[in-house]
Amino acid sequence: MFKREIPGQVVLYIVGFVLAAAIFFPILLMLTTTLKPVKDMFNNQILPSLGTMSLDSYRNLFASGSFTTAAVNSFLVSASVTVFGLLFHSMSGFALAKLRFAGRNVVFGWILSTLMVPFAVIMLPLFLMARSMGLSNNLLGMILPAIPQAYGIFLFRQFLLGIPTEIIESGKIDGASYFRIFFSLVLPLTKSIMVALGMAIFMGNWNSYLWPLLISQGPETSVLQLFIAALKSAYTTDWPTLFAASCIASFPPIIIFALIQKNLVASNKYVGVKG
Amino acid sequence: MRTSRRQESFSAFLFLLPDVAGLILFAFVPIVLAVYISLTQWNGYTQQLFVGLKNYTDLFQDAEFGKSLLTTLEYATVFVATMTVLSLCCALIINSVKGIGQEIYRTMIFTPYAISAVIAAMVWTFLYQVPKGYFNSFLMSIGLDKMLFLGSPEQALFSVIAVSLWATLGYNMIIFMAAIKDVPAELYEAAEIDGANFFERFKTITLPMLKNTSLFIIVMSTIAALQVFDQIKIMTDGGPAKATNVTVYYIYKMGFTVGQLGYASATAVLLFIAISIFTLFQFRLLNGGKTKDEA
Repeated sequence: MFKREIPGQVVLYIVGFVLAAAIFFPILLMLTTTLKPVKDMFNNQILPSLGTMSLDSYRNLFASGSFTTAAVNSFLVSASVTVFGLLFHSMSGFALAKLRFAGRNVVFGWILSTLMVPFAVIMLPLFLMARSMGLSNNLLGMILPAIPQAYGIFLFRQFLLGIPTEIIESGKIDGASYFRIFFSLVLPLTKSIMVALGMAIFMGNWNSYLWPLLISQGPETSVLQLFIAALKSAYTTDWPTLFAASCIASFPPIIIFALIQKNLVASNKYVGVKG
Repeated sequence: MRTSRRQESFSAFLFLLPDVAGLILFAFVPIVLAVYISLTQWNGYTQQLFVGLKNYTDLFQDAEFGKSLLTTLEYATVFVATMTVLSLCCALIINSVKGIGQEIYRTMIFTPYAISAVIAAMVWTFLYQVPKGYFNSFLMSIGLDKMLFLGSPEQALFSVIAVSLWATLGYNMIIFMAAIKDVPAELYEAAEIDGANFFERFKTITLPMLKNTSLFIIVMSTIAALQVFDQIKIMTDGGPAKATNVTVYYIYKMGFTVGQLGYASATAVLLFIAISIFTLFQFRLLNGGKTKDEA
């Protein structure tokens, strides 16, 4: 038995490696190209040659302040949407799971129905509304429409349905208001879902391109994805610099996703998908 | 007692207020507006003219819209079918690698999902370069002719699909891997006692147990595929010769470049209807067949 299994695993290790390496290759190439001078970018070697290796691409990137502005903007937008999103969704989830009021199921059903509205369908009216509210070419115009998300409300509601109602009753007996109960008793219990959903919201906004493309009209409201898109030129593109920006922009999502890979599956199961 | 009830309702109202107000303002009002604008002729600045269903009847006679619809369907069909098969195959292979290798390979295959669609499109544009890109150098090194990839009306759509597959394969593979791990081991043991070989076990146990997960992946990938935009905007701008002019790109172009807002909105409303059908199906899957929730 033992003898028979070793060759099988060796073959699987090799097949798995070829597969993983092929899929990972473009990422590796993106990273190594940033270390090459422009004249060597199509030299068909994965690694830069030692003699010409340089960090010029990163220097080019930071030479003007616009990359830093875009990075700071990306962070401000993603972080604001995450913080307010988690706060609002946990509040909504709590009300829908634990508070009794007339029309609760109607409200919940209506919230879920907004999941059916794809962004591409509403981008045009949303842009016109943002323009008339003075939110175009403004970071607030990127942040505000991204906050309300039915999926996050749904996740919190499902999670909070599972916590014992006695926690709330005990708070009531102590004379605490619902807001006290929520912030001091309920919110600490949601840590795991806060982390998983928070990372997903952050990454979704960090990587988002279409809405910033519509709403941003100048370098002062640019974000990383727009900055990178603008580096591609119809004639000669400076790929090492473009990839240097891409590597820096990819760093946070890659780290965060490596951390939540397992949670990703857990959160999927949580919504009730059965295998 | 009655005041505490009212207090509870009022608290619930306050808890729900920020999100519900946001959803009304940024989801409900825009969708109503989209329907309204689709019934008008408007460039976004001058007087809006109510024209009824004219935009819709025009759409069905518009060859560019028809081609765009077919392109989207072709994109979605090829993408979803390939994605489902590939991610299942990868899950089966990586799942049977034991020990640390499984984690390393899984992370490597998942990494493209973490980077943005814009960056994924950039990396592949670099690989597709004609004549000096890595793919063409490889083709020539094995004695084949170089290809145009994004520059060819025949190859462009498939070249974009390859990027989308690459970028989302890892995510779907992880979902499949979790489902494979959930298959009770006793089933395999029983089958082994019955003398079933690997393929028989796969056909009679694994595949039926993965039915719901496969459906979930098919529906979610279809909804995503009908909305593809980022890769198209970066790689081809809908071209060459409108070969990659998918619906969302068409809406974008009509609404934001050409300035035919009514026409663009009518397209958006049709897209909404198409996606709604799949989303309703998705809800049923998520509920595991139940239509009433437990609350």
